[in-house]
Amino acid sequence: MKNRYFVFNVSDFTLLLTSLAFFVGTFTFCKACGQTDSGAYMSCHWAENALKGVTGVMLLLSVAHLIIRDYGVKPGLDIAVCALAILAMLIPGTLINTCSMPNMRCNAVMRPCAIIFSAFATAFSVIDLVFYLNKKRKSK
Amino acid sequence: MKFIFALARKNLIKKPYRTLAMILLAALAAFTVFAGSIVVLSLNNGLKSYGERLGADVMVVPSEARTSGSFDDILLQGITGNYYITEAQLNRALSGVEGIEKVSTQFYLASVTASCCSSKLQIIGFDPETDFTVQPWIRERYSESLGDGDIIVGADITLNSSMTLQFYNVKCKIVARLDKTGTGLDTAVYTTIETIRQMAENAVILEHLTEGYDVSTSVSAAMIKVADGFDAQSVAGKINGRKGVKATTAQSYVSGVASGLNNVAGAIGAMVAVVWLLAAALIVVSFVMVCNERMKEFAVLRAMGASSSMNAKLLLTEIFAVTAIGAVTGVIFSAIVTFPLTSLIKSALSLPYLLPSFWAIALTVLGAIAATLVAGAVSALFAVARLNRSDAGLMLREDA
Repeated sequence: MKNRYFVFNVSDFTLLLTSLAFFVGTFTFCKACGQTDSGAYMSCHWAENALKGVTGVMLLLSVAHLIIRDYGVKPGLDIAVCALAILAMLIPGTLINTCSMPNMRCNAVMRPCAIIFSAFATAFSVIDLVFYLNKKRKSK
Repeated sequence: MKFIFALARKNLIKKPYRTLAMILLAALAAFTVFAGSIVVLSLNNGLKSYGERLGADVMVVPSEARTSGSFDDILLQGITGNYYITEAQLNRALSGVEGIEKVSTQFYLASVTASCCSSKLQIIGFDPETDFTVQPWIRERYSESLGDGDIIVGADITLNSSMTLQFYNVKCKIVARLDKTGTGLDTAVYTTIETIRQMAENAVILEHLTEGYDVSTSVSAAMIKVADGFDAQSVAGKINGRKGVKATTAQSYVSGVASGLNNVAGAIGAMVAVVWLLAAALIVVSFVMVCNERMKEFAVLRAMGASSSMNAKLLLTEIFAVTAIGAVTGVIFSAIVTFPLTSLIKSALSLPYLLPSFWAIALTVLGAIAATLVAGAVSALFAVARLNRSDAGLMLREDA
């Protein structure tokens, strides 16, 4: 019975910290371009909003991943975080257009940050998934 | 050998936190070496491209250009600027100066983010009849002569399906896109001086350009080719003696950028060396400590019939596996961070920044992995030396 429950693993915290940094980043250091001189928003603003939503869900799933102790559920949460991370990577520039100039904030900061955080979150969720699947297999 | 691999694998898996810490150390060394090398290579590549694109020996701009949106800001960072001098004033400044072989004027106009314009860009107008600086490298992409309303765009400008851009209500046709230079010229638009003057006239009407400039007779800069036997520095000196203009040699632009670049590259190189040395030292110390801790384990293996060379091979396999995994992981993460942040690094350094070619990057990947493996090999030498100095019998008796 002891095998079915366990204390937190390093990868749980790594995943949570990556999701948290990504979520906080979309509100702070990896924001898109501001309003234009005429007060209108460019399409990158909507990409930023979409990122906020997706990273918010990623953060919630990562918190759930940390709290839930059943390692039958944890791999499922890993898969969800991984899928959301890939979605977050595709949002700026692929699914929602960013500005046309590469040196604008959305292209110079927001998009690279989305790629970096998503890549890290994908990598950590896959490592975590392998870890827990392995643990589950061994417990049988 | 198969047994050694299996045993090394089990040893690494059974101590996951120790293995993870070692991998992280190796990854840190590889990350720093790769990222630092890519930044230094990109800066050198950018400087080369910058020097090649200047074209003229001496650049003459109005005195006011030194204060706002200056020529080097346009070249390096793509900061837009408008400054003008009348052709008559410019001719007066250049008349009688010996050593001028060719002169070609250029007209700069900054577009705005408003309904009149597709986006905020620096537009550079040149005179096709006299130009000797822009056309030689435009010809690499577009060999025809530019017609009225035709534009050539820098590499960083996104093309739309209609292949048109609008500036101050002048609809322009994009006829070619230039190769990347890593400078502000990647976000510039090139056109003929007639087309740009048409835009400037509209800009005055739309009140985006201050009235008081007679755009039909004004220019922004003169590019000068110095005749053989004359020194560009002395020609620029003579022009600087005239009123209302400021002359700078291409060499001084390049050497100014080069000195800034050398400082940055030197600082990055030193940082890479320090981090690599620290990581290498930590790897060496960690492996030697781990080796000390495992002396009894190796003594037991000796008592079970393993030779000392087998123990050494086991240790070397573990060290090689850990540093190799760390090196590859470090390079992958470094690439994930370094490449997407190219634009940000370029604007933060305010220097020409052009990523090296694919093969140069591939060589850097191999170099970073090799540098990390060298650190691992050094630690392996120390660890094996420590292992060989120990006496298995003595170690086991100490235990008893």
